[in-house]
Amino acid sequence: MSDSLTEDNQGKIDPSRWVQDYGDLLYSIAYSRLNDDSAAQDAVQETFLAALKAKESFVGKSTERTWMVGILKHKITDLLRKRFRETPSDKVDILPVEQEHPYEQVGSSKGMWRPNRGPSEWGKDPHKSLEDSEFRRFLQICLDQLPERLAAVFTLYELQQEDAKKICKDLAVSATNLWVMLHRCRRQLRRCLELHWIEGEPVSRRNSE
Amino acid sequence: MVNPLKAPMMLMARMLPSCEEVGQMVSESLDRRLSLPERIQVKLHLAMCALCRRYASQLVFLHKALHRHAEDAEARKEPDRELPDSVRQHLQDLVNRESQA
Ligand SMILES: [Zn+2]
Repeated sequence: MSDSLTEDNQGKIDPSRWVQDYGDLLYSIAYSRLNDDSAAQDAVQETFLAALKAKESFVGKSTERTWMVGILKHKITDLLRKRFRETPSDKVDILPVEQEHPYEQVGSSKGMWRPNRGPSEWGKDPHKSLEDSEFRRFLQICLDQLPERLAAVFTLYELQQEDAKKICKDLAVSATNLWVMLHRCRRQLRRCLELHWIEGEPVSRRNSE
Repeated sequence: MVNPLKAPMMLMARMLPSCEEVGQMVSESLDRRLSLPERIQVKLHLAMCALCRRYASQLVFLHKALHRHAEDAEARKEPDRELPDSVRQHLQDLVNRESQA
C-alpha cells in the first residue's frame, strides 16, 4: 500500500519482469506464513499463473506489486484453510507453555501464577524492539514452532489479518473456540520470546522435539 | 460452627477471576469488545496483580509486533529470502510460455 505510484507504472503490465521483480518478495512472504519451502514455491508459481490469467482485469487501481501481493495472500489463505481442515482435530497439541503449568492447578489459589513462574520483566522498550532485526528473527522462529493446526488459525488472523467472523465461517469453528486458540498461540509465543529472545536460551533444543 | 463470612467470601472468590482467566480475557480484549462486567473484572484484577499487568502489556506488544511483522514483509524492498536458481529459472520459463499462450 505504501509503494509509490510513480515507481511502478500503474496499468502497465510486463510479465517477463515478474520473476525478477517479485519472485523473492512473494517467496519471502509465502515462506514466513507457510513455514514450508515447497508450499511457498508452489504459492509463488500459482500467483504468477493467476496473475497471467487475470492481467486483463488489472486496471491500475493499485500498483502491480500490491496487486501481486494481494493475489499471493489469497493463495496463502486458501492453503492455510486447507491445512487447518486437513490436520486432524483429535490430534490435540499440548503446547510447551501448557506443560510448564505456570498457574497453580489445585487449592484455593488455583489459577494464580505459581511462584517464579509468572512473566518476567522484559526490560526492553517494545517500540524500539519492533525495529530490531534480532527481535524479528526470534518472532519468526517462535511462530514457526507453533503446531500446524494452531499456526494456520493464528497466521490467518494475525498475519493475513483475515476477519474473525470469516475465519470462524471458513474453518467451521465457534468464536469462543477461535478466541481460545488465539490465546493459546499468544501464550506460547510470549513464553517462547521470553525464553529465547530475553533469557537467551539456545533455540536448537526446542527445535529438535 | 458455621462461619458467617464463608458464604460471602465464596461468592467474592467466584466473582474474582483467577490470573489464568484474566489472561484469557486480556487476550480476547484484542479480538472483541469485552462486556462491562468483564472489563470491570479485568481492571480490578490488573490493579492488584503486577504479574498480570506485565502479561497484559506483553500480549498487547506481541499483537502489535505481529501486525508490524506482516506489513513489513509485504512492503520490504529487500526480501529476506531468495528463490533457488533452479526454481527461479523454472518460474521464468513458465511465465514466458504461459504469456505467449
Ligand atoms: Zn493475576
